[in-house]
Amino acid sequence: MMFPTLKMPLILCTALLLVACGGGGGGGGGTAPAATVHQVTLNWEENLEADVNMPGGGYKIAISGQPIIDVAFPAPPSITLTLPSGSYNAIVTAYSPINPNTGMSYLNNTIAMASVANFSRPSTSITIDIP
Amino acid sequence: MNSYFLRRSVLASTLCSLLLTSNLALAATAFQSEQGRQYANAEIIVKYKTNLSSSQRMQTAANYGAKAEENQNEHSDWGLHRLPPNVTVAQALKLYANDPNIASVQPNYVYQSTALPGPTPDPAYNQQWAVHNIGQPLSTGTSTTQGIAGADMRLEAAWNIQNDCSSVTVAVVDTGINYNASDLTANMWNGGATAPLHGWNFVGAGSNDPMDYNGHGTHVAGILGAVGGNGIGVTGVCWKASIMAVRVLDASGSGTTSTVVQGIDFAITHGAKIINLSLGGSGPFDPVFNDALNRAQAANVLVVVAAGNAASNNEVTPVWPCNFTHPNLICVAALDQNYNLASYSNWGSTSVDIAAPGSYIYSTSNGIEGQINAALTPAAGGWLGSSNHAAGWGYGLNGPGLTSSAPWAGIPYAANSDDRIYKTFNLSGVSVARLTLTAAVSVNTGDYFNANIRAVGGDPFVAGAAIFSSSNLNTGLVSVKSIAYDLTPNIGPACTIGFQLLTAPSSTGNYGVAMTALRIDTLTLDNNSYKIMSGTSMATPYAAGVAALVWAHNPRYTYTHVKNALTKGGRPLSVLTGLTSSGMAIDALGALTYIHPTQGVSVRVQ
Repeated sequence: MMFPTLKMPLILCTALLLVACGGGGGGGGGTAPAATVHQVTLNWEENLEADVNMPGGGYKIAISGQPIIDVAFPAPPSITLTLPSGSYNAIVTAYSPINPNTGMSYLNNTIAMASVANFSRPSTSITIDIP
Repeated sequence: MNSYFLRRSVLASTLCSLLLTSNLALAATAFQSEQGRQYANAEIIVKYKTNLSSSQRMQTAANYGAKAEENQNEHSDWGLHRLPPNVTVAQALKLYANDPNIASVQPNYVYQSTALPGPTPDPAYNQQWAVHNIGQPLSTGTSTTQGIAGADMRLEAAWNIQNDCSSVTVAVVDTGINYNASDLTANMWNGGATAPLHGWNFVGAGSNDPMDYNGHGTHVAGILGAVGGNGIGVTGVCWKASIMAVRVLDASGSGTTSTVVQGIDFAITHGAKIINLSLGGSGPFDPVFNDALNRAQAANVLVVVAAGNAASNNEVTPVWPCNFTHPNLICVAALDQNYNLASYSNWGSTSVDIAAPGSYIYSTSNGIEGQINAALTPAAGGWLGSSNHAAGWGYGLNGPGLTSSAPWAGIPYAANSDDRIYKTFNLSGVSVARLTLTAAVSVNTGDYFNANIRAVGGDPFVAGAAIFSSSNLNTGLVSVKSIAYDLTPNIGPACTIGFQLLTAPSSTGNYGVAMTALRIDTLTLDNNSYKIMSGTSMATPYAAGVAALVWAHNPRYTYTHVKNALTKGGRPLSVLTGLTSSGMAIDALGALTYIHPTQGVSVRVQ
């Protein structure tokens, strides 16, 4: 009997890639007006999982067209960044250092390494409109 | 280089770049699993036919686009090959199999510092297929089954994360618990001076003693929280636990709305966070029971209940409490050792939430069960007649058993008679005794068939208590009566049971009575007994135990989070599709590693 294992991280990966690569970045063709830059603060509710709120845990923030931002424990559930004019999608994904295949923390297991961290499904996507 | 691998490598490189760009290399899968055995997904172990040089080994690997790792032991005849990206182990095994330099090839299996209960292994651990299914055969004495290796709850890996549930009190609302059982006593709830015996008894007049005189509750408790690693018996889902014993079902396993609801309220008010209800009944909606679950919900208590053992659809025939719709309730179906829905298990597409192992479960017992089947031959069987024995009891020649007028049938009993026969049973040391009588009876109106008991020996109709007494049982016809009676208050070395046919002076007579079976089931409480049981009652504590692990590990959770972790972190089973609301089997590792999607994302632009 074969049971599905570890499909979720791949789904998550795809979701984050889509958000990171799609949309955003300041609009369509033609001569672009001088872009304005705004400070943006993204907040979210802290996850209640103990493993998210421990060393090796935290959040990945994916904003379309932007590099993924890592908000590692013990940082508060918030980021502030600057974005040029445009419309962006953002999702937050929580993660822990616990290998979902073994229950071992990669922090304590050099064999498992970082390739086995555990991710939540992404949050509901939120739209950021920068005038 | 193998062209197949080259093509794959290009694709894999592209994928890899994307992953790195998104800084999400962490999301890659490190291990694969098949039939319960994990192996590294980008590596294989190669055993060479001849002692190849290091450079030859490198070249062998390079032929497949792989890389040979140097073995620390230079004289070894095997080596590790790292595969090109996106080439599966299964593909590599096939390709390497025909290499003339290679004797054999295998996956690089994963061996973990698996958290087996320590410091002293529990001797019956290998009989616990739900914890570690290796296809082990299990026998009840009358039947033997075995299942599929790997079809289990992945508890061993889960225990790497959490094995102590003692911060989460779980109430086993059941037949009570043998709280003195050596595999349980250290994990019983501390009720302090209020409940010094670890819970409460709501059966009968009630008391502070929830001792189990049936065995069901003790079995449930062992599944949930038999001490792990104490070198005794079995290992519970929780190695350390806080188990509250709440007795609401009597020695025969029956209770009422009143007893069950009192038990639930006791659990709520005394701090239980999870209530295990391995019980159920069909019939109309029970509003008082429903209200009790409302109170549990208000107190943030999770209630885990059994789906039922009627092999029926709960959507059609509701079973309570499974069919209550409270969000803090999880209803559990049972799986067999092959991870199919057990043949006896109820199901329900909306009422049943999840499934867990329930068949052939080895766990703690409250004692040693025995059975006395009395010989129903008057003399050889040790039966004594009373001094005023008249027409006489004997052995029926025309029918089996002890008869009030031998031979049974054809000779009507006499008028104005008082025929008695009795026998003494030694029940010394027994904790519980239940009598079951089966009799064929035909007695006229005005005549009586009586059964009496006397604890100290002698004629039970001189000084004794009635077990059964009735007239006009069946004029002219023979009916079969089955009588159950709790002998426990009369336990002792001279427990005497007797039968009497008492007839009126004007009686015209009838067939009388033929005792066809007399059985005494005994239970001697014992602190070191174990047994196999099956049912959704057994599946329920597996779910409750995993819930306790999850809650202990994530103390900020509410019942909603715990329920989500169990259902969304479960193992999808196609056989459960449409039979449960989640389609999942309980998976301890999946539940403990489940992370809720982050909520409340908001943005402020300045």
